[in-house]
Amino acid sequence: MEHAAPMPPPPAVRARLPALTTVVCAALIAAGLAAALSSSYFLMLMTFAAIYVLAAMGLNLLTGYAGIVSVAHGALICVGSYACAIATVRLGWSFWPAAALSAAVGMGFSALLGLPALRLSSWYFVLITIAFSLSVTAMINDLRALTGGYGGIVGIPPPALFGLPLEGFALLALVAAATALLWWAMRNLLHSRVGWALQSIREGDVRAQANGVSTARLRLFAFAFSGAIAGLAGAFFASAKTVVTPEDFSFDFSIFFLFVVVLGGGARLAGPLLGVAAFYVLPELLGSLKEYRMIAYGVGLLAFSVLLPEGLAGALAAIDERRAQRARLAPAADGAAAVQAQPAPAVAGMAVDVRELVKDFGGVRALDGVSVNVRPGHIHAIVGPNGSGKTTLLNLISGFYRPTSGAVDLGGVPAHTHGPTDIARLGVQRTFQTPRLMGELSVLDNVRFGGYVRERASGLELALRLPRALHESRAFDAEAMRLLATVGLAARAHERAALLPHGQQRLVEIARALLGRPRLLLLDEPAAGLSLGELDELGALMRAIRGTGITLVMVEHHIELVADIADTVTVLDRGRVLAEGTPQQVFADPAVIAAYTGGSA
Amino acid sequence: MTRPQPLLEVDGLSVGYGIVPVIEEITLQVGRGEAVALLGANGAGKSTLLKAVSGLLVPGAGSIRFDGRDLSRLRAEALVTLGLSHVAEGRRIFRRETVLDNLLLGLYRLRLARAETAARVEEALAMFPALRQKADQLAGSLSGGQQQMLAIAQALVRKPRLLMLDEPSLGLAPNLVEEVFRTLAAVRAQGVSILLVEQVVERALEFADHAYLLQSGRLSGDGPAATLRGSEQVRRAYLGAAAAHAPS
Amino acid sequence: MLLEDLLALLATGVTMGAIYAMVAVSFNVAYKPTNVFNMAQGELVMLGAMFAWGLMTQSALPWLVGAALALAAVAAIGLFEERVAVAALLRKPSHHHGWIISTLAFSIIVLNVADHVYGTDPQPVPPVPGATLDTLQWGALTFSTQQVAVVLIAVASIALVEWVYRRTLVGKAVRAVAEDRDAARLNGISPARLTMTSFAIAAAYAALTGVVAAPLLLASTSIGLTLLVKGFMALAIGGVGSNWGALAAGILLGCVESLGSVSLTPDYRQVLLLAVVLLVLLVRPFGLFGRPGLREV
Repeated sequence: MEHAAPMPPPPAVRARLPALTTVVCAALIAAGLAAALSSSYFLMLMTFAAIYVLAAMGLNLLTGYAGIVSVAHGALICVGSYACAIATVRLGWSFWPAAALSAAVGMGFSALLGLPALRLSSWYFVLITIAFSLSVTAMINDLRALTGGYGGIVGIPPPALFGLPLEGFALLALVAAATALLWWAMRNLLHSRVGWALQSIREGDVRAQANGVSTARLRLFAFAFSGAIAGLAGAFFASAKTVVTPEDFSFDFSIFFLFVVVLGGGARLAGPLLGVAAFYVLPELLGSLKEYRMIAYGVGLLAFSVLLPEGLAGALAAIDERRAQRARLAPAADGAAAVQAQPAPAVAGMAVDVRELVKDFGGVRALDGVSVNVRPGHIHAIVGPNGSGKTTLLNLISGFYRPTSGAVDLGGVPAHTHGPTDIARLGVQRTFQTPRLMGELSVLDNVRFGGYVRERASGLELALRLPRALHESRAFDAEAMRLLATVGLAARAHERAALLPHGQQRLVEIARALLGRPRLLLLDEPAAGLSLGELDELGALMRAIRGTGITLVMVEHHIELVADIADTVTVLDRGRVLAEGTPQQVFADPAVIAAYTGGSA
Repeated sequence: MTRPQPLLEVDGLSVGYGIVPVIEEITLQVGRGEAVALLGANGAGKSTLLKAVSGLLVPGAGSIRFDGRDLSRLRAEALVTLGLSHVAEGRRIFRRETVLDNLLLGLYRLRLARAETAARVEEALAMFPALRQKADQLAGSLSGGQQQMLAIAQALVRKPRLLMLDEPSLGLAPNLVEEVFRTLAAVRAQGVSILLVEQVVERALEFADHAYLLQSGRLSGDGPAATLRGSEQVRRAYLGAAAAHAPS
Repeated sequence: MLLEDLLALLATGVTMGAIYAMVAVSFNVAYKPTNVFNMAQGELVMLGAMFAWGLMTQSALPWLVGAALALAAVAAIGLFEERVAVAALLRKPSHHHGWIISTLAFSIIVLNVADHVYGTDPQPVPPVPGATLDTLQWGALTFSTQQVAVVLIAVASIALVEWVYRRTLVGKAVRAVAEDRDAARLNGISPARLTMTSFAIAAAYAALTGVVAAPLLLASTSIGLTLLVKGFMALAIGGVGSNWGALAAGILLGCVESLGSVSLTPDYRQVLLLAVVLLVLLVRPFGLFGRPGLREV
């Protein structure tokens, strides 16, 4: 579908300065490298700064993007350092296999710590990581035979390339290159389905699971990834120091990384660089602060977490955004006009067979033996007064609740024992009463996340931009743009989703669901909060979706919309089916009118 | 027909979640001793209006006056001492506490003397004999109807001058709905003003003196309840054009 | 192992377990109306111990006066923390786990300021009035009366906390806030006020823990972090919100740790405890006495 891809050159209005974050980062890197060439003190300072940026980027993935706070990062770096030191000094390995071992050890410990946290609230993990940090420091002292106790391990060799040892500036260049490579790979990964999935779990599992993300596996990946980076950074750390001792890895070292990530700007690629520059390099240069540094860190952390939770990078980005808004004379996505509106290609709709479904919450029976049969390719509306069990039914079909008794078959497959992730993978997509978009991401990225279940490129392919990942990403971008055009929002594709009004967010959610090419689409009150004009568009959109063969089940209060577009209507009242039939039949039914207006019941 | 002196005056009230307006420029009154019904389809903004009056939501614009006093700067927890009680939608009692404790929690803010507390609780239990039998049971173990009675009783122990109820008959069997309305009639007989949000429209209109119709966050009409009963205007507000031609 | 040795180890284990349980209960008190797990709770215990040293040992105030002042001072610090590090974040629903960082930051500040003020040397604190640190022999059992006092204070204070929640209207109001914040407000119960009260009481309780534990552990700025972790372990195994569960889990942990000291160095014991906690959480994520919450869609 490449014919839709070429877009006209951006109009002159959009030609603007490079992002402030980019300018600041480039200046910092240039200044750092220049300083490193000028004196051995700066060279050492910059080498460690580069190592810290590398390590902090790993933590940023876990804490910034996935929202899991860890105080073990310093301890994982410690473990990596010792792995490298033991392998090189005690076992006589060369640096590179030792570094690989460091990464593996860091990854293993991190994943082990993360295991219980997969099912628990995230603050458990914070305390587990604190306990781990304390244990590691203690064990290093204890395992004297292996670690050399307080004396540590001396004489770690530098990495070598083609027989040449990389020392001094060459080591800095190597670390900087590794950091740049990680930056590039993380940028690729975070602008892919993996990155979107990571950010989607920050505020809970619901949205991610509805999209077919296995949240436990994803969290495990985040733990493993950040642990591996910490281990690798540990290897560089050991090599740059040539000596590792327990003193290097106090508890404060772990706090430092948390501090750098949060204050630099969590969930922003540039955050760790800005954080290290502002809170490691600067204090080192000032020198005199040393004694009070931890107090200052604490105060800074408290102030930022309350007043500026987006961190330094967030503040820079906000300046950029304000500048962009001022510069924008007209909504600037003229390229969108060239995109054809086109809903999903034809599919075979999924039949839904709900039999005798019962759901109790505590002592309250929300559904009391509901049977509904949805024919493939139909629009089936579920209506009823408040508290009649409509949303409960939707949550049972999409796997978020388990029924007390009864069965749900989706396309002939028994589905009531499946969780939401598995149901999504059967080809079921849903929207929520309040749209669950990732407000910080662009509208387009939010839609692209809907393709999660369909994309085949692995995380590695995505991170390294291998051909399949590139090809898939182009195809999905084009398809997402077409879907945005279908819901009339192509012009706003590159805006932050949070800036859209509620009604349009709902349309974005529908576009996202469509990118998953569902055979069944569940809509929870799609018309709520829409204006009259938007209602007409929604009706047309739903007909177009039905036209592709997709089965639609919607819970809706807006009776006119239902009467207008639904093929079949089921009326629920107090957890039971009150009536079912065409809209004309149902809304003429005296029992239904009574249920709604409370007339002569 | 003239309406009594206003007790609650809502003037030009707009409330939204974030940038999305839910209700816009609502103006209405509840008179002293008057029962007012607030009607409209789901999502019309009825609950939002009640929440704004009781201080759970902060209005974007407009004013709310109760007995001449401006409420818009007061927090929800401070309002109960002024004589305004809000029975929220969905029987929001404390399920993990006993019936008796729920009533005592209803009096938490008033800090009454022990004898007065006992008297108030006794009065409430006298009004709801079913609750007296279950005074020491956990509220979560009550039936739906009894939970609703408890929610109303919890508001009544404070002897409010205005009782606001959000869909008290929600999910109740018809005989229980009747019981709720019998209770409300008794409350009204004591001179308490009532602002009622209700889906059982006909029953609400039968009960109320005056009614307001809400459609998509705006007032679409109001009038004496008696003249609104069975009117096309009301049915339209609920079912839209779809049912306008259906036989009743 | 001789019976005497075993019993002595168990006595130590039960005492330490009671201290861990008190830390866990102080978490619960602050957690109840807010669902905020105060990461600074361990440092508040440390402050209780250090203040007790300053007031009782340095200023030679009577035990009761010193303890009262220490509790009041730490309560004020807990209240201050609630205002600067918690209240503002609870109002912002978008950053609903921001309190992890902010309370951790507060704990870093407390720890490092205390390090500057007090140094890092352990200091003695007098035992509870009527108790001594001298060991008594009672049949095969060796213990000090301070150990007995700590266990009794732990049991009595946990019983008191439970009594407040179950029997007093204020306690029930806190439970009401935990169950349904908005419904509580409509009944005139102020969640903000109860949150402040709970944080202050939780801080005072942490301080009490520090005051009674200090004679056994010695007062030093390093005990906060250790007790934070041990208290968390008792809480996680006992189940969040369960006070008697915390006591049972605390004693279990204390005994495992104490018995482990026969063949393990302190550092290995730390690892052993971490392994126990990880294992329990894997098998029973909500602890031995906890209940899972309902998920929201």
